Amino acid sequence: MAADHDPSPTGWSRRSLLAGAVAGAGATGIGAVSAAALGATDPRLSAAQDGPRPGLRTEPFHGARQAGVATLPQAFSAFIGLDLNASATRESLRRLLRILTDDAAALTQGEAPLNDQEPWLARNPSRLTVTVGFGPRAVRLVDRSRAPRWLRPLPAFGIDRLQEKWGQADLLLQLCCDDKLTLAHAQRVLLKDVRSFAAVRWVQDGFRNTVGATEDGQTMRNLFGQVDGTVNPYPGEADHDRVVYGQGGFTPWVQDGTSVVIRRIHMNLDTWDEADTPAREDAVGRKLSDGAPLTGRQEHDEPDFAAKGPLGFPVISSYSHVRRSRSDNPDEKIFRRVYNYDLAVSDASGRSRSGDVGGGVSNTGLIFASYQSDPEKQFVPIQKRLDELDMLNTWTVPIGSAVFAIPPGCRPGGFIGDALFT
Amino acid sequence: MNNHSHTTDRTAPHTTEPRSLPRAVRPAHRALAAVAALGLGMAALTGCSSQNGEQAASNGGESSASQTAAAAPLELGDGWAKAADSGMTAVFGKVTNTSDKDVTLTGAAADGTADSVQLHETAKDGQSGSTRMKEKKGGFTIPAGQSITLEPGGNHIMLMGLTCSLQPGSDLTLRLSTDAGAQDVTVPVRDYSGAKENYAPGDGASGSSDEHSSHGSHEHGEHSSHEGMDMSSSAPAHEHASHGGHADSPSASALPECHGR
Ligand code: HEM
Ligand SMILES: [Cu+2]
Repeated sequence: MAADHDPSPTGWSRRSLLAGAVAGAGATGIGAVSAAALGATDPRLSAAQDGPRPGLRTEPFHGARQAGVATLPQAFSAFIGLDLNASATRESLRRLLRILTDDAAALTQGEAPLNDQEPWLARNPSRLTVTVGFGPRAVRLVDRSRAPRWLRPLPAFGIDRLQEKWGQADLLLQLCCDDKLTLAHAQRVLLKDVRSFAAVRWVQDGFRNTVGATEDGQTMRNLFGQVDGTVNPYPGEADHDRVVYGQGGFTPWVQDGTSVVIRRIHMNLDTWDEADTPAREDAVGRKLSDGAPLTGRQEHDEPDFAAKGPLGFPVISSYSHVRRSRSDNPDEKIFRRVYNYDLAVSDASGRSRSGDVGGGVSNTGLIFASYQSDPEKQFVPIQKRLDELDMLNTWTVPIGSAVFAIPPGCRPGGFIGDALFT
Repeated sequence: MNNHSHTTDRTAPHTTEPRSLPRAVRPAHRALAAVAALGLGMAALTGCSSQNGEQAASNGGESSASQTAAAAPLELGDGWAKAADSGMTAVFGKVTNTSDKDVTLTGAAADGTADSVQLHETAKDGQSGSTRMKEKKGGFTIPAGQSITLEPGGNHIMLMGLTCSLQPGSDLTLRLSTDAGAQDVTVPVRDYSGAKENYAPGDGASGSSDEHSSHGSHEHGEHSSHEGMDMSSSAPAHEHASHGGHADSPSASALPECHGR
């Protein structure tokens, strides 16, 4: 290894990894990939690259808003639904929140919680964030009068094939982290805290590219191969605070609070395989190569929904996902922060058919996490339109659905949700 | 510092991390122990961390650290207690002697929570070879400016005969006695599955293994005698409850919850 590399415990460094990757590509005859071929990069999706190695990077825990929403998405996630014990009280919930806050505050900063039995596993925080959400029962326990109107199951949609096991829970713990080992440890520590108060209803593991795998600032791809997340009110943009925190628009359920809708959406890769590139691009209205609208040249070009092809049909089909998910009503906007899932399949063979959520060699989909100030005014109308018509429905099936109210963040010395206890 | 070469390092593992929180703004529970260490005069402050988090946090910072040295000889850092519904439990943490004289921790009391409190050490039993805890006669002497670590599997403060159930997420206040006076400390209570070492008050205690006792029912904890007990018998009842899904109604014999949230 070159002498000028920063020494790190394992002897690896980002630079050596990158150098190795390029050398490897050359050796196998692929050649160096040009930056242009990798697609556009977006400053809104860039992490500050200077500073400590990725494992030592941290996201602040305390603040007016909880981390994990505006946070640049980390590589891995675990969305954990918890059901409080039947005997749960306001008081026991308060105790649980204090413990979770205390340990999350430590873990996210690379410190081992008090009673951590594997404290060494806490040393690479890797931008760990822990976000707590309240289901209907939790908010009612704390203060019935503060329960937002929209904190109830979404209306039923025709495309839904919901499974109870991915349904509404009393509490949400959303863990996101650039390192899977650190995430697993944090999850273990927090669930040990939880187990005398609540049962684990579900854990939804998700992932994106790992740090350094893609050019910094690139929009993620899902397992359909699509560039996913192009049009989104990113933090720092005028829309973000309005869409996510209701500022200057909706009435937030609590100042600096928001909501998350977690839709678990199966993606049928076997029937997707049957579609060729033109059909796939037609279904979404964007190119697979770089995510550019079918009417544009670059990812962030505005789609031209009025443009017509030689035969007089719209270039971006009226049934395409981007056409259908975009509303003229400025209220109907959401902030998407989605993760892929891809579960191990055993004894797999053959292909699954259209509409199936099992069979085939893959169990794949999206943990579609949507943040907005008011799910019923923002998320539901979009989902309704997609339910009525969206070519993408040919290959996707919602199998889980849950809504959580996300309380504001807390200051040092406080605990997540403390604003609701006063 | 020879005493804690093997201890768990709870300080920030990488002081080079620029964005990690300074000590002064660490979470309330951790700050709390330091606040409590200000001594008896500050007892009114204990247990108020979440109701008045700002106060706890601002008092847990550097400003109080300098006062502490003058006001009280001991500081309990990152202290915590193991949750238990009945029977026995223990308190852990790093006890620092901030004075320039040796101080001996001679005992402790938890009025309203436990019938008795002892200082324990864990030692290998000469005959069976198993590790047992026993009372540390004479207490723990902490050299000037140094620390000792109380930790599961090692030295600890033992609460015996709980009179109320110590719930995770609540606070426990202890009075520490030293040859330089007494002082109150408050620690958060946490679930913990370890710290099950056998307790050997004399030589004749039977050597039931952890395995066996952890399968025993929690009635174990109702025995009036401490003899031969081990801490697993005080496993919190809520753990049992969670085995049965949501059926977690407390048993008829359950102790009331301890005060102090
Ligand atoms: C597995 C399911 C889904 C897949 C694979 C998927 C994929 C995509 C892709 C490839 C785009 C275009 C690039 C972009 O702007 O991000 C897109 C845009 C979008 N999707 Fe989805 N999506 C899915 C489900 C949903 C759902 C359930 C909703 C909301 C209810 C939704 C709302 C949107 C919105 C609002 C846009 C941006 C539209 C615009 O250009 O204004 N998507 N999606
Ligand atoms: Cu003991």
